[in-house]
Amino acid sequence: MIAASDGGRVGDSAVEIRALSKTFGVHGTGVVALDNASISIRANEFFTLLGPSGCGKTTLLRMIAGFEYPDAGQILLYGEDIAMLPPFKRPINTVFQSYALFPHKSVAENVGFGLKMQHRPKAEIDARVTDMLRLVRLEELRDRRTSQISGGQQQRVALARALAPSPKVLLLDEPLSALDYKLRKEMQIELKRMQHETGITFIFVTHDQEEALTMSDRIAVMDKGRVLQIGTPREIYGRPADRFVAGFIGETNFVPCEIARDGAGRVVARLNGGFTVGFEDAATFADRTTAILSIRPEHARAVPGLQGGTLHATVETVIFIGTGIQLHTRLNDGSSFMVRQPDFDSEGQFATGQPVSIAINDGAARLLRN
Amino acid sequence: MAVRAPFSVRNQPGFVAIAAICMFALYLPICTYVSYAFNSSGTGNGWEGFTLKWFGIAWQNREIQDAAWRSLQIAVVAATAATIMATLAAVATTRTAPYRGLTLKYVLINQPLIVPEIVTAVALLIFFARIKVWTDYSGMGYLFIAHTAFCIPFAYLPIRARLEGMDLTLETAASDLYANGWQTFREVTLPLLWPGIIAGYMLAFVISLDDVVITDFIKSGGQDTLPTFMLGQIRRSISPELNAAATGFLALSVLAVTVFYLINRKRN
Amino acid sequence: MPTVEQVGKLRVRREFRRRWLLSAPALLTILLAAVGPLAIVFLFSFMEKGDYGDVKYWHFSTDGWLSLIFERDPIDDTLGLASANVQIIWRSIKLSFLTTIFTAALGFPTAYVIATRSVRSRNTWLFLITIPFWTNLLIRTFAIQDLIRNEGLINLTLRKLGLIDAPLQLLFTDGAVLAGLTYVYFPLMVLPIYASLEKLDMRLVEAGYDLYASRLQVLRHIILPHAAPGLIAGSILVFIPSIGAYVTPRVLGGGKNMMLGNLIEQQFGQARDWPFGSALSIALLVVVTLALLVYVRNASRGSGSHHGR
Repeated sequence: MIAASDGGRVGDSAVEIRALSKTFGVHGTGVVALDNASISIRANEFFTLLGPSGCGKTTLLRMIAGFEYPDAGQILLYGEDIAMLPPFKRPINTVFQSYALFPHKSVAENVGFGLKMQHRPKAEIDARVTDMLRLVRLEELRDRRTSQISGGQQQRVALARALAPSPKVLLLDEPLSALDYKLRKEMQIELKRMQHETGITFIFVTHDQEEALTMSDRIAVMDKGRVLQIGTPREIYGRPADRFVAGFIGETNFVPCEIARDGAGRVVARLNGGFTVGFEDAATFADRTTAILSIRPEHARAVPGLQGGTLHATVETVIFIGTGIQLHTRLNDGSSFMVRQPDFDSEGQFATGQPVSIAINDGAARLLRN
Repeated sequence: MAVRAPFSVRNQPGFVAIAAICMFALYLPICTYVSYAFNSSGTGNGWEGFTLKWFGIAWQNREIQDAAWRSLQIAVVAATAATIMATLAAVATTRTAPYRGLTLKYVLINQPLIVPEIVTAVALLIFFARIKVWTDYSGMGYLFIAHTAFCIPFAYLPIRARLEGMDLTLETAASDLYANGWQTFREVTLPLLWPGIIAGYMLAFVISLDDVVITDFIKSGGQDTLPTFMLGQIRRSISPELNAAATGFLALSVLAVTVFYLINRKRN
Repeated sequence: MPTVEQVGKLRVRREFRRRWLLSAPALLTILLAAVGPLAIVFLFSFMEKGDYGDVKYWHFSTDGWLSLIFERDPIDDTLGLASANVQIIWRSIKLSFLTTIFTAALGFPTAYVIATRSVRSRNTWLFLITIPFWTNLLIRTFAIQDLIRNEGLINLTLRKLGLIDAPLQLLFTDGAVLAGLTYVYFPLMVLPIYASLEKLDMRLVEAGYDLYASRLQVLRHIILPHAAPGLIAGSILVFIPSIGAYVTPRVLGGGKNMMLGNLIEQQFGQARDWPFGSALSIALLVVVTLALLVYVRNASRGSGSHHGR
C-alpha cells in the first residue's frame, strides 16, 4: 500500500526497491520485517526512511548495504540488480549508528580503509584521506587513535571513512542518535551541506520525525514492514495518507465525522454536535460515510465562551510554550482536543474549566479513512 | 575498657581468619618445596644456608636435561598446533545463530575437560599399543598428538571468549568497505583477536608442561618428560636437584599464567 | 537467472560447509586422540581377558563388569563379593565426598572475603588463588608429601615444640590423600563461589540487618542463597576430578590407600585384567557424566531463576 505523491519515473532512479520482503525466523511464526516494500530514490537526493522501532527501516537499509538478503524482490542500483551481491561488491557505503571505527587503527587508517581494500596506490590514498579530513574539518586528528577522540569527532570520522571511496550511495543508520541536542542540530546542517557538496545520494534512517522533516528532500514513512507514504516533507506533513502517518508526523487531533453536504452543496464533514468543516480533496469521498478528520493543533483557534457554528470544549490545561499557548481541552463527547495558537491578546483569558469555542481553518483539515 | 570495633556489615566473624589461614596453607607447601632447592643442606632437615648449587647440578644431570627438553618440545608443538586448530574452530562456532551440529561440536571440542584423565590415558594406552604393534613406530608422535588433543579446549575457551566480546559491527563495516572474507579476517578480526590467541597459547603451554597421567601411560621407554621423571623418583630419597628442576618449571608456569592474567586485565 | 531463494539457500549451505571445514582439524584431532579411543575401551570391557594382558579378540564376556563387585572363587567357581575392589570403590566415593565438603567449608568463607574486598585487591587475591592451580599437580602433591612425611616440616615443628616424641605417621593414610585432594582442588571451589558472590549487592545485606536479622540469619537467608549456584558448581568441579584422582593417591597413599584411578592403572599394569580396567573406566566415566549433567541443569536453571529475584 503505497501513496507515492510524487511522479518519479523509473529512469530517474539511483536506487529502486521492488517488492522487497523479508521474514526472520521460521515462516509462519517468524517476524515479518519487510512486507512487499517498493521505493524509488532519485540520484543526488537526500532521502529518509522514517518510522518507529521495528518498522523495517533498518532492515531495508541493511539490505541495500548487503548485510541482509531478501526473501523476495529486487534492489536495483542504476538499473542493475544488486540484491544478491555481497557487501564488498557494492559501491555503497554505510555510516553505522555505533560508528564502528576500527579501534586498532588510527583516524587516517580508518578513513583510508576502503581505498586500501580496493588496492589503490598509497599516494592516492593519502591524498584522498587528506581531502576527506578537510571536508569534515578534522585534519589535525589524523594520527590519533579512534578511542581518544570525542563522540562527535568519531561520527565525523565515520562519515569521512564512508565517503572516501566515492560511493554511488551513502547509507546513514541513525548516525546522530548518540549526540546531544546542540551537536545534533549542528550535524544535521553539516550533513545537508555535505550531501549538496558531494552530490552523492544519501539514504538516511531515523525514528525522529522532526529530524526527517528538517533534512530530507523526500521521506518514506514505514510501519510494520510496509511503506505507507512517500513524499516531500511538505506533502507528508500536510497531506498524510492515513491515520498512522498523520499521527506519527507532528501532532494532530483525530475527530470522527460523517460526510455530508452543506447548504451550498459542498462536501463537508459533519462532527458531533452538527458543526461542519470543509476539508481538502473533498471531491473524492462519498456521502454519509463515516471517516476520521485529522486537524493539526495550529489549524484550530479557540476563543472563550460558547458560540454557534463551532466545536464546543472545556479547557483542562493551559501551557505557555514561548511562541504561543497550547490548550488541552475536552470535547463534549469526552475526547481530547489540543489547540496551539499565538498569545497576542489572550493573556489570562483561558483558565481550567472554562468553556471555549474552537474554530477550524477551512480546508486545513484532512480526511482519513476509518 | 576495650573499644569495640564498629559493626561491620561486610565482614562475617571468623571468615577473614579462615581465608587468611587458607591462603597461607595454599602457599606453605609450595614455598617449603621450593626452599629445598635453595637449601644448601641436601637432606631437607633444616635450613643451612642459601645456595644456587642445586640448580647447577640439575642443569648438568643428563636425565633431568633430557626430560626437561622433551617436556618443552612437546609443549611447544602441542600448544602451537592446538592454538591454530582452536582459533579456526572458535571462528567457526562463535557468534552464529545455532545451526545443526553446533552443540555437538562444542561438546566434542571440550571433551578432554569432561573426561577424567585416567580414562583418556587408559583409552590411549590401548589404542596406541595396537598401532605400535601394527606400524612398529614408537616415536614421540603419540605424545604430540595426545597433548595437542587435550590442549585444544584450553586454547579454545579464551579465544572463544574474546571473539564473543568483539563488536560484530566492525567486521560488517569492513565488508561494507570492500574487504572480502580473508581481508576482513586479516585486517580486523585477527588483530583484535590476538590477545585471546596469546592467552590460549599460554594456557595450552602450561597444561601440556604439567601433564602427568596421560604422558605416563602412553610414553615408550626412555621418553620421560619432567613430570613423569619425577613420578618415577617418588620412592627415592630427597633429591634437591629434582626440586631445583621442578622449581624452574614452576617459575615457567607462573610466568605463563602471569602473562595470561595481564593480557586479560588489559582487555578489561 | 537463479531466484532469490535459490541464491539464498546456496549461500546458507556454503556458509554451513565453511564452518564445518574450519572446525574439522580440531574435531578430527580430538576424535582420534580422545573420543575415538573411548569406544575401544567400551568394547574391551565386554571382552575376555587375555593371558598376558590385552584381550582375547572377539571373545565376549561380562567378566570385566562382574569384577567390579564380585570375584570368582577359583575352586568352586561361585561368585562372591570382591571386598578389595568394593573397598577401593567405597574409599573413592567417600574421599571425593569429603573433599567436596571440606573444600566447600573452607572455600565459602574465603570466596566471601575476596568478594567483599575493594575491586583492586580482589583481582590480586584471585590471581594469588589461581597461581597454585596452574602449577604442576605433581609438584603440589610432592609438596604436601614433603610437609607431612616423618621428617617433614609438620613433624619437625611438633617435635621441636615438644608436643610429640616420635613422628606421627601422617603419610600413606586416607587422611593424607584427603588432605592432598583438598589442597589441590581448593581453588576450583573458590572461583565459582566467588563468581556468585561477586553479584551480591551489599545493600541486600544491609537491608537484612536493618530488618533485625542476626548475623546467622543474614548468612542463612541472604548470603548463602546467593552463593548457592556457585557452591553447587564448585562442588561438581571438585567432585569430578577427585573421584578420578590418580597422582594424589599414588604419591600420598603409597600402594595401600588406592582409589579408582590407581585400581584402573593396576589392571593395565601388574594385574593384567584389561576388560576389568576398561569396565572400571567406563563406570567412572558414567558417574562423572551424571555429575556433569547435574551441573549443566543447575547452571541453566540458576541463570533463569535469578531474573525472578
